Amino acid sequence: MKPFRPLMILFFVAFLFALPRTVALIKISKGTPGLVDILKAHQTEVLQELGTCYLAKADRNELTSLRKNGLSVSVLDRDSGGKEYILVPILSPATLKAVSGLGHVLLVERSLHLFWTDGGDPLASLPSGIERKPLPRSSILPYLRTASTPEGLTLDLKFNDVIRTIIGGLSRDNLRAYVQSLEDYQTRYTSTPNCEAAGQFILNHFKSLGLEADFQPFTFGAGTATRNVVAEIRGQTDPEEIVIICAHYDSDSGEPEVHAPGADDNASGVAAVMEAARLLAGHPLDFTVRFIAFSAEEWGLYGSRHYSERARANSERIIGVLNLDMIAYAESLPEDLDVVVNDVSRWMAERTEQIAAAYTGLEVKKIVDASFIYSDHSPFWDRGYSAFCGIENAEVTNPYYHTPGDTIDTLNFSFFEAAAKTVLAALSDLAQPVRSGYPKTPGGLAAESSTYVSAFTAIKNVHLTWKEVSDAAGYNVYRSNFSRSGFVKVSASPVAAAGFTDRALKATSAYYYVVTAISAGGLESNFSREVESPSEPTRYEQAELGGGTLLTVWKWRWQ
Amino acid sequence: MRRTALLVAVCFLIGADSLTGMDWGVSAGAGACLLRQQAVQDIYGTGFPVGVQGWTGGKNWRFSVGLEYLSEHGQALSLDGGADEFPLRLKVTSIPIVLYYQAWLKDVFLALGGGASYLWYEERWEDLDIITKGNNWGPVISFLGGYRFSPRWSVFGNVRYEPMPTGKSSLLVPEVKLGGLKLTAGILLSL
Repeated sequence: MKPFRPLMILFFVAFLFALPRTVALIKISKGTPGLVDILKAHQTEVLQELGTCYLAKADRNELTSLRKNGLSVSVLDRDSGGKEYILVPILSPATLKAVSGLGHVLLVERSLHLFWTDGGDPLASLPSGIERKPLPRSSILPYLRTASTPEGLTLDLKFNDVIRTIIGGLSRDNLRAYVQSLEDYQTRYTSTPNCEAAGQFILNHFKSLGLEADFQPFTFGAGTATRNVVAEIRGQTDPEEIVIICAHYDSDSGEPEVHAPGADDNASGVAAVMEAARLLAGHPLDFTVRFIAFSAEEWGLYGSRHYSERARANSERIIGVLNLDMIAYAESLPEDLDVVVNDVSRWMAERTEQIAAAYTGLEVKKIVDASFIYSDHSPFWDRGYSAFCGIENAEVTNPYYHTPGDTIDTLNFSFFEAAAKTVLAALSDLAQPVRSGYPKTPGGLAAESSTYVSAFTAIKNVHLTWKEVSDAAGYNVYRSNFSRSGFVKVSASPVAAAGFTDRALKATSAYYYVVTAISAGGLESNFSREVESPSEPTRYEQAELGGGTLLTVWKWRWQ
Repeated sequence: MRRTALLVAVCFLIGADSLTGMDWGVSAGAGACLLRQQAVQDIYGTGFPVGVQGWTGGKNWRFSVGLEYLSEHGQALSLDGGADEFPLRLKVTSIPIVLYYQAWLKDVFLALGGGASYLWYEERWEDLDIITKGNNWGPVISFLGGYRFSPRWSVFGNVRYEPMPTGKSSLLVPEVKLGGLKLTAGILLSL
């Protein structure tokens, strides 16, 4: 036996190496400078961004490597293979005790628990009425951004009479009628026939307005089938630029199969979407507007997850998503509208604040909180799109929330109307109604860059082109270092031709451009679509041959 | 502080005393800088530094301190086929300090040495207001060969690897290195 001992040890070691590597679910705390760059360099499978951390999957080697890079990493579950994880809000002691008996519950950050089971469907295990968000199915790493817009960057808001006309047509009676109709289904809990009937009602409404509208079917969980309702007004200048206004039409309560009226949650949001469709249907817009009623939000944001994944797969250019979820209950008057955003979407909240001040007078409260994930804006955040959640109170104060008592008589229609008008104004501002008497908005703006390098620095010339506008006497070109905000005119005087080159810019910075057309009388059109000239990435892979030691230089030169 | 000053003074006195027994010389030379980092080579081509050195040493060792200067014109590289031209100017001043071990074969000497070089550099985009300046230390490995054709005069050739790291990164490389393999030749005067 003794002569075989080394061989056995060798086999044992080989066996250990041959064992499949377990992949852990980990939490990476924010705060390390350049964190996103480090995660991108490691190609870490990031599944969720939260206010204070990222949740990701990593094997032991990756874990060690991330820690070596100075990241604060903790393991939440050693073996994540085949498991679905669900984020749930902080639970009351009684609920926590009940849920703990169903699976694993772990505190992730101040306001969030993570729930999972060792087998079976964790979603089916969770009692109804608890907000939830399953972690995304694929990595969100490609969509994480490294730079954010500075706080309070000045936005150039141009007051627009057409927007005033549009919101002036909003009818409180219509809002009331839509909510009543949706409530009349008794329940809109996804999986019930009533929910599907409510979806049909919304689709019929869109079609009656003459919009292109259809169902978007999908399945979730253990094969439950349902459908989103999607309608569209196609933009006239750049139809591939899309603004989305959405709300979920399903509802929930303690007895969801039979009685979940969901007047505030979320017939109110759907009613605002339906009324917005009615009011915008008659107006030509620069950009496309999609009106979406999502299903299966209460089950875990499945409708919006399905939609946003497909949108990203189709490389859809979504300017912003205005998600409305509970916008009609006033805890106390005057009530304000909370607009919850993540860092990338902050510009939307700031813009809405300005819009509200200019058009409706409703107070808008901007809340930047990446951990606010229990509504349909969140899957859009996961895919890198700007999105906000408009809600009466980010900390739910409606005592009828997720109860059979959430009925139309508990709503405040004065606040509801103001909130709907504010969101409609924000939507119109992004979609840009065409104004008569003004030059047309330049379409098809595109940017290409030429990069030049010296030994130390790199510059780029950004070449902009757009479609000529027949009634334009010239064009203004605007540039910003940040998307959707802070634009400054680059061309000292209007440019005559439909093209412009912005010279000698720092190649390692990203720049954003819009252009306008100027009439002979000096009237300026709406902004064109925004284009980005991205920052030049480092090209070490290609150039490394020349660097390093004498040996590598020698190899590079003589091989 | 006082102790350090005392140490420096003692070293200086010992050094000064030993200097009297050593050979001294000066040299001037010019050459070419090859095998540079790819990006630098593509932008500026082969460099042609000029310099002067002060020499001292005994029979088997040699110590040199130089002052070298390189000034070159180049063109910014286009990474994606852009047709614009941006002229560049690079100036590098360095002080290489090298200690050699040397051997003599009659009037021929061969020496191998190593040391450090301190450099100041400045790159300027001539049509734009973009200037990059800096200074840094870098290593030097040097091979020297020469022929003494009179008691006071020698000619020499020098092959030196001096990478001149700048400590700065660029779009193309993690660290820009302005030097490379330097081949110089010159004349040496023994004092």
